[in-house]
Amino acid sequence: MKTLKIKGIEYNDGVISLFDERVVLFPPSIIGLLSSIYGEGAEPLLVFLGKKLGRSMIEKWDFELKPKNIKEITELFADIFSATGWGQLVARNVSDEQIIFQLMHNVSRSLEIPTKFIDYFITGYITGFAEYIYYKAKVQETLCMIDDENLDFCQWVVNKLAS
Amino acid sequence: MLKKLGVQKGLKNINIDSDSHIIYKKTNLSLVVLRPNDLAQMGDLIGQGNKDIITWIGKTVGRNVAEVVYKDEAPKTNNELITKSFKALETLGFGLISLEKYQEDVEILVKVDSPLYQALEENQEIISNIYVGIFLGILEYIGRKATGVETEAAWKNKNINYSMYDLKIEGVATQ
Repeated sequence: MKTLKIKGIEYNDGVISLFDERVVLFPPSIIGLLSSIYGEGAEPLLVFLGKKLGRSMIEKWDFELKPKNIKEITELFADIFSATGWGQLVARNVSDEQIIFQLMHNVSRSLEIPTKFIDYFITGYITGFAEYIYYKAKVQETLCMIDDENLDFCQWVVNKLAS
Repeated sequence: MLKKLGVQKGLKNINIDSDSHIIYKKTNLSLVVLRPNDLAQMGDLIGQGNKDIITWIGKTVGRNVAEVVYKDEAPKTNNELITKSFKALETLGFGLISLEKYQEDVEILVKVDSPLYQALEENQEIISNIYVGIFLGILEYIGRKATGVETEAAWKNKNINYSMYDLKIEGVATQ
């Protein structure tokens, strides 16, 4: 167990800032709560919400750290995502046309009741990123450790679409 | 890119385990990093008018926090549990939270300096309702049913940098 350390993070009198932007640490169970209200109808809502968050997150960090190419910005996205508590995201096969993301230790598994709804949110999150770098993209979760107990990761395939 | 992202300052009482999960102290309370705007957008999607659901989400967080504080710090009184829960919330970035008045089984007044909605230009009421829910959730954890209202609000009055919540205890909470 290590102390959480991220460059740019500061704590002062109950206020946490990340590169001068206020953040808060919140239980991820909030996603599960939304699903308990909306049932299956929560899926598009969570994808939409994740997309907005993923997009604004990568816009901010692209501006702050100025990665030079798709490989760097993808690595940056995966690093920041991993630092924000959702699990450990790794990018594989990064190209101008496709990226494969694998998420180890999905935070959903650490909850009392693991929920697939966190994956819908993450699908949106990755879509927000993918549409930022590819403009149009299709994001699909192809493997899921919540559905298949033999897996120790979830996988998303991102394909660039012709604009 | 990780080197550029760097590993620098740490947050006290917030740990990251070997699975990259953010944990409060050594408890089982998992956390994720969100911006106040993210919470506001979630609330906005639920619907501004749907105060009950937003308060309910806050209540769940309040109960979670009170539970880990109870297990981790073994407070001896309700007052101590509430105060320590507020300290935990401060650690999570909810602002400086102080118990201004504590009248067992009657009323509590809570002051939040630098509330989360400070970072927002709209949807502040959603965050305010989350705070109400959190405080009600803590009270529920100690078996008290209450109603809460924000009596002073920085988002309504630009001359102040805090909000004040008045929670009136109505009786025993049913679990």
